[in-house]
Amino acid sequence: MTIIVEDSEIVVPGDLLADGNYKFGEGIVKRGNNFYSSLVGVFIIRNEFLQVRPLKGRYFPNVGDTVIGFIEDTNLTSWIVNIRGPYSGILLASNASRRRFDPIRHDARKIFDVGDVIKAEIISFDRTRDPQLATKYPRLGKLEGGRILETNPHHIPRIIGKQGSMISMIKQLTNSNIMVAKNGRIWIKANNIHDEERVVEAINQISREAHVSGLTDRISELLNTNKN
Amino acid sequence: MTEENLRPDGRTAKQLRELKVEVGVLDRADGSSKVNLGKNLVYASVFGPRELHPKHSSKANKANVRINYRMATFSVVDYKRPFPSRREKEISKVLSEAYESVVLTKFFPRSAIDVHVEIFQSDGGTRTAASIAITAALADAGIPMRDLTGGIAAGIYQDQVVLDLSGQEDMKGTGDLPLLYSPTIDEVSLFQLDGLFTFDQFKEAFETAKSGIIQIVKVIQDALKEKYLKIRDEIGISSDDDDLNEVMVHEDEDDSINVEVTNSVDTSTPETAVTVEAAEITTSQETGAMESENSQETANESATVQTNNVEEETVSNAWYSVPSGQIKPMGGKPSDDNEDDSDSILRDIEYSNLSED
Repeated sequence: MTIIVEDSEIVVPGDLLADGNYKFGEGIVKRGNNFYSSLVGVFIIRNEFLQVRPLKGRYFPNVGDTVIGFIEDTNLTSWIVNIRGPYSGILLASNASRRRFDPIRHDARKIFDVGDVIKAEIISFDRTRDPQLATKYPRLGKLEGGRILETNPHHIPRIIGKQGSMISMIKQLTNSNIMVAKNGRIWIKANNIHDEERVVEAINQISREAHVSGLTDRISELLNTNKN
Repeated sequence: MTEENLRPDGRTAKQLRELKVEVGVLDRADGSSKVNLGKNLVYASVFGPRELHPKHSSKANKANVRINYRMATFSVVDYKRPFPSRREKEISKVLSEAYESVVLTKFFPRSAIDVHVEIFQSDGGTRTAASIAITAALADAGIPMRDLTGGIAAGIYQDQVVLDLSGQEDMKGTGDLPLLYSPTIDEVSLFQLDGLFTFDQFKEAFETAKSGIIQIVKVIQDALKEKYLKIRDEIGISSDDDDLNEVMVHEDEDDSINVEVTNSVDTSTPETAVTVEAAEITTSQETGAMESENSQETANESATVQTNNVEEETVSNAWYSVPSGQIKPMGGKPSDDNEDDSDSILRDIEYSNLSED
């Protein structure tokens, strides 16, 4: 039962992290009694639980995730949605709206058309089928206005912060509306273009320095200095 | 070789050329790297895991690793015709197969991991230089791997086993043995051999290549860490809080699935002339992929492949399985208890209503 690498240290694939009897999560391969990293990431130990948090990588869908997607194609009763993952999302008309959809009387393009941006929830996904999306629940649907920023999906927890501390601070200091989705897309709507630029700048700095602690202080400093 | 036992470029027999690895050099790729090995210059870019087209070539239980090795028209003396040559297609194929054994493809079923390797300048050993670039780029892209793989060739130049043949030595030498090897898991993922080796020479060349790869993997590790440590040092570590550790921990860590280790394939094909009798090689792929135009006539390859100490390998399933409690019936109302932080702070935002006529 020895930990070889220190907590919060940056590790690379093949690094021996610990040996003994531990529980382990993502980013770790167990071989014999030894635990090896399988990713470039930050090594985390919490109550005998080992994990390597990745620093980079694509979004991988999970049931329950809220995602921002682009409509790529429309069919008679469904839409194909780009959710920035290895699989496209499928939005069926029955999951799009609470009202009854009749393909004879209704036109799917009048609800969502190619190029629309939607906020949706993944309601089912497993390894054999593509993720199913839904927009019929509250606070989901078409997004209008604002702009979309794409960032590393693994930095989303840092952008939100503890109990939303980071995001609420950015919203307050820039006086803007921000919506963060699990797939790394961020919707920003501010009063003017200058404030939007400040949000983008703050998020880019979070992305760059996500692996270094004391981030909230540095971001508040940035947002306070670039006011006007 | 000269009297001081030096090679044409002044190296000793077991010395590598100067190796420089840099990661994250291309903005639009998910992961990228630039490798200088002597006069070789290689760029690799990784895209994925992404949707696989054509769909019929997808595999239900794992991702396809598609490596595309290309040489620029100006990369060689004179001119290389711009279309993919037979040699390029072949190297792409053997590298793809080699990396499928190292990348944890089980995490991304039905998808593709695309790697493009472009040789801008070549001076012998481009396929091994390419493998260094591929490993660095894959790790940079955040793709889970069982180990970092390095690649280098050993060969025979003037009856002596030398490491990392340059273009000149490759031309005049009588043997070439490119090897892809992962030091931590002790597995060979690509092994090619061209020319005539005695058994002792073969053993020496194999061990020489292995020791070269251990040095190379160190360089790759440093390059991967360097990118992040540079930023950390710039800012200076502040020990104020542990907000690095705020992220939720998976709750289903108990169930883990077994990733089977692809065991060795016996590839003994003894031919005429010298036979290699018993080399202990741990392998994970068909190692017998032969290469280069003249290999048909001269190559004598035989490796009695043994699998030693392959232990059971386990990875957490947290990445791709759905905790059963979270599955919602289709059309059901989403329960409020598993709302995440991102949702709770978004309440104040207006949403446009769906229009319907």
